[in-house]
Amino acid sequence: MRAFTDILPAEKTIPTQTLAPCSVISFRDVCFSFSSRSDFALKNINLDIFQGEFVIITGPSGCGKSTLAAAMAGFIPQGIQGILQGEITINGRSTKAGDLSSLAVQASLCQQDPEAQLCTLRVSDEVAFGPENLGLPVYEVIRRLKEALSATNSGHLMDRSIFNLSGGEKQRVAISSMLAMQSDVVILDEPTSSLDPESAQEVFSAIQSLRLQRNITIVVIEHRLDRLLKMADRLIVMEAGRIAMDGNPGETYKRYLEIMDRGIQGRHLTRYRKTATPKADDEVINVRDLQYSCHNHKVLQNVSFSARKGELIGIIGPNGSGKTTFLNCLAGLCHPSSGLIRVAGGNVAKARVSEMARSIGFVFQNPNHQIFENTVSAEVMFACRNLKLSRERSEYCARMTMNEYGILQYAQDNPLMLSYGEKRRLNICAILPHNPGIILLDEPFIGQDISNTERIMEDLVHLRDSGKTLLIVSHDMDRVFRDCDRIVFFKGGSILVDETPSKAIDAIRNLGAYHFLPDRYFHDH
Amino acid sequence: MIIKYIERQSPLHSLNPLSKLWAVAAYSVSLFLIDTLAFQALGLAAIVAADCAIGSTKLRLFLFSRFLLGLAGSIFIMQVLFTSSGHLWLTVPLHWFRIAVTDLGVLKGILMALRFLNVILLGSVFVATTDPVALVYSMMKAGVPYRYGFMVLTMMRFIPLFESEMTVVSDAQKMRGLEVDRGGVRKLLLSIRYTILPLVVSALRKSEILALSMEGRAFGYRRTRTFLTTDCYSLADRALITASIAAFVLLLTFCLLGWLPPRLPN
Repeated sequence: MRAFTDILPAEKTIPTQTLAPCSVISFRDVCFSFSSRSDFALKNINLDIFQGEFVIITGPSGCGKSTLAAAMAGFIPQGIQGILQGEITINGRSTKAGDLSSLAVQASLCQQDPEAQLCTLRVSDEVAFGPENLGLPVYEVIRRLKEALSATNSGHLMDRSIFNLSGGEKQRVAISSMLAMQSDVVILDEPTSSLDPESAQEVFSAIQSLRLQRNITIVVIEHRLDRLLKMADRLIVMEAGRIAMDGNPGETYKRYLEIMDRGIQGRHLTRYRKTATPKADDEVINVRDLQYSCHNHKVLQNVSFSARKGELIGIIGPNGSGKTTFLNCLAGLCHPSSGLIRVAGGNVAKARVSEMARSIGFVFQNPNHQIFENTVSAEVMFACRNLKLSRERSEYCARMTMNEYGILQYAQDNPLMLSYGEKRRLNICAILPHNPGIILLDEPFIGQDISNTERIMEDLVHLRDSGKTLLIVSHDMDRVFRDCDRIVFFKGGSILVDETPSKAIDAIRNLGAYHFLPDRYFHDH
Repeated sequence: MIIKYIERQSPLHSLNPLSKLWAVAAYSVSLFLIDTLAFQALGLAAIVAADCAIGSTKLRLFLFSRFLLGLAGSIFIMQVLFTSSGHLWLTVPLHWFRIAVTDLGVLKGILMALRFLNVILLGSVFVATTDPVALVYSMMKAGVPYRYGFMVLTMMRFIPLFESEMTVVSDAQKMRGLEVDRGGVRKLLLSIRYTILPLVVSALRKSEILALSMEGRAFGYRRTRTFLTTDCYSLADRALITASIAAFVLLLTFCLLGWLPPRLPN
């Protein structure tokens, strides 16, 4: 795909809010590199963000969005080491002066992973953490605690343990803990990346209510723009460390999509051709009356399901509805309380998990949790070696697969050095050389940009066309409804809908679960 | 069996963690300074009563578990076997050597076993009735530098996370055909190697995020910090702390003056 900067004219669109009174964050000729040997992650950034503005920053994975956010909050150069050129100021004060703690009252950054940034064990302690560190009087700490929680509609969570929160609730607590600092700028780095559409909407509503309540500056880094765009004043698109577009959200997004489409087209659409409809006797997965409980909590209840050869099935539903557990049960990683699971003709309850690996490939949620070797080629051959396939055949298959997935040039590189998108492709690539007939994927699109997501989806459709059965758990409703043959909707541990996409839209609408419809249907409601 | 904090209402639960800590410290010192059967037995009876008063089945099961009683029994046997001084009660002739059982050996065995049970059960009652988070916060409020306190808190926060990540990594290995339980020690070592890499990567990433998140919220901004809640010391707490300190001072004084019951000879 060509870079935006190659396609676009050099000049930038004038931001709609340039008449705003004063610049809160200012970048002047800023370049940043993580070390003297690496390329610049930020290149010649000139940017002003004004008081009260709501700015969205988007762009391909690895384009420097999170680095820009870290620089805005003063994490660069105070917390993250590297070479910084140019000047960054927050409220007129250089981020090079003072330390990160003192900059905390100027700008707050809520990072991508809410789980990793919560440092206490109770919601009230977490939200009060910042004001406590500032040494504010107790009555002021309590005031800020209540205000910050109410701004994200999370007042009811105050006395809860962090361990008992859902993903969406954790994200809201993380945002509240930043709001309690009462800084002038709040920066949110992909706040909804791991959330289901309903929880994502809760976070967006919290951001919206913040906007209405306070005149603070909000910067959100996000890939999923459809439901956020209407709230924003300005959209910035980054590409390869540079600001490629900056302007009115609607127009800029339209141009961004046009460019993305141009880049994606011609690469994948030719392969979007489905093979013959699967026949009933090609059934490869059969689940009957599956029940699964954990710590006296029923996770799956009366689940019956079947899948046939060459089907691409999208599994959707709220966080905690049992989707991942269902995949784990199919793979034999969880042992059901009752019910029968047959996969590729065998009873899962009687098979060893490592034997199941011959017929099932499983791509887990976090790419880093499934990278074990020091080189990409060794990683791709990992399963073949364990399953004792012949070395020649393994090497040949691994080479073919790496070539097909565009990672052959990295064969001798360390997998951990690959980009996030490339790691995900490596994960898929690494389960293929031993040719399993069934592929389970848990949230393969998390943290991926539009282009990477399209590429992964293209790969999955291609696998389906080659006769494999694929089950994808995803919160990306647009893609799931567009490309899958069947939609399975989980709620409360049960399958409520199991239909073709067109019928599933009606069924989910009838259930009132509008958040789980593709965007254009969601907006109708 | 792992004893963890049991959330419920009981007089012991309602005590301030620090006052309980004072009492545990004073009682532990007394257990090691007072070498009489009567004191150890009375102490054990008091702790068992406290255990039962909490009303936790888990705690009661632990109290009468084969593991705990077996360990106490082995301590008793070891003392009997290896104490040769005192009046000889009987000898057990074995093929290579003979075991001499003395009155002192039996007495020491009972004392040691009682002391062991006392210490373990005291610890279990403390753990079962004290919220670890409240304990750390109480210590920070009492003057322990808050940087150290938060080190413990973040550990408590992240250990369960790493446990669950380890399960996912192990599942990912199995799903790619790695059989840990069939390949002997070599496979086990391989699995450990393959588990460490993803976990280290994850731990490094998480610690970086956490450090930035904490510093980004002014952690370390001031030498002291405010705490959302203040510690309440009830009348019972004050009485317990006073009694613990008094017992501690008395024990030390008696010990220095040689007024404690004589210790058993080695």
